[in-house]
Amino acid sequence: MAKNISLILTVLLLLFHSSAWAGTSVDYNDANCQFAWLMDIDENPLTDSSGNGITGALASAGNPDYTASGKFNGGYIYDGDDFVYHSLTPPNGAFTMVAWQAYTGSSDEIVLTFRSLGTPGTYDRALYIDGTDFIFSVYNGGAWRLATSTTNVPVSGTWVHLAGTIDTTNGNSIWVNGVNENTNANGTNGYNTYADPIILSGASTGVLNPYNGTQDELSTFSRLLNSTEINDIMDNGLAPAAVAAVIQPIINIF
Amino acid sequence: MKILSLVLGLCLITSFAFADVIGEVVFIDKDENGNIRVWTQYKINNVEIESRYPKINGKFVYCSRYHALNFLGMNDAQIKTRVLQDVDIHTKSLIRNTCIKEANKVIEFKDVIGSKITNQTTTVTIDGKEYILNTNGSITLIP
Repeated sequence: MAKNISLILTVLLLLFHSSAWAGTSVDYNDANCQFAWLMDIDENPLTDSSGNGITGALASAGNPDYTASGKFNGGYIYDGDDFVYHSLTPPNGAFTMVAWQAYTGSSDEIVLTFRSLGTPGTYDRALYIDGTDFIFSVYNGGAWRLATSTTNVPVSGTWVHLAGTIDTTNGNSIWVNGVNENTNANGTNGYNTYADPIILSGASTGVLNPYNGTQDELSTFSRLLNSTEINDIMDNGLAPAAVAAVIQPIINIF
Repeated sequence: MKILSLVLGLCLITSFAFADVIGEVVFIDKDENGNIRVWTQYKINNVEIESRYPKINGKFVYCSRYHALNFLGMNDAQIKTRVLQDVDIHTKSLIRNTCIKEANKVIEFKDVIGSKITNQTTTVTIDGKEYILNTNGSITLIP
């Protein structure tokens, strides 16, 4: 009898024995992460930590300069004639773009955007600063759909996390330091059928000027990240944590 | 035999039970930018989800951020609804991600290994015109 009870209890323990749910933070291993430039090393091209091969080529004329003083470890300083890019097609539908940046400019300056390599005026899904506000704009339905922040640009050189999202139902939104500040209901998709598309950090679009300041942790996702996920990336970075599984039985055996 | 039946029965019960995904708001504070930060603990089947944040009250937590303009014109009940809306969205995201991970384990790729696809041409569209590209380097405009 004692043996039978022991067997039952052992089976119960094995059945209900479980690991804590680890690895649910969003990071560059997310299946929908298109690329992730952590900018932690002085290198050219920048490593794509997502493993998708979207390395960031630093422009030959005026490379951004590496600094150990990024938001998470290293970053790159842009001084108005620097850019980083790689061929990448903007996805159709739901989308998220994230970046840490410390702006020192004074005009309409691009942080991160998709753009035609050969035609600067053809661009879409742009995170930029107009000197006063942070803006995420998408080109949809024949017009630019701007989501403009309610938070003004802070003191020059202050780190601010930006995210731009496209919700195919509710529109495009600008997120500033983890807060969804504004939504344009008409930005339910972006323009993604132009030739030679690239993902571009820092350079002009023919309308918006090159960036002045420091950037770090740039990435795009071909899905809509929610508030919890955007804040997780903002607070903890794009690199995954080494979270060990913890074994926690939920039945106590007396 | 009775013991075996009991064990098998318990296995069946645990196999087919739907796991609850629960998000519980555990703390609210302000961050260094003055934004409101709502901290939430998430559990799947009563097992806590670990996070990269420092624990609060011994619990793993995730956060969402807001400021006053997110709650413009709202009363207390509406503010609560708005906050829980984001918790609801994340629990559903957890269900989706967990489901995919579990479903990935059981997909069978029967006869996939060793199967082949062979092409010699493909088509591209440039400036509204369609072209056939061949592995021999030829580019043919489709009328």
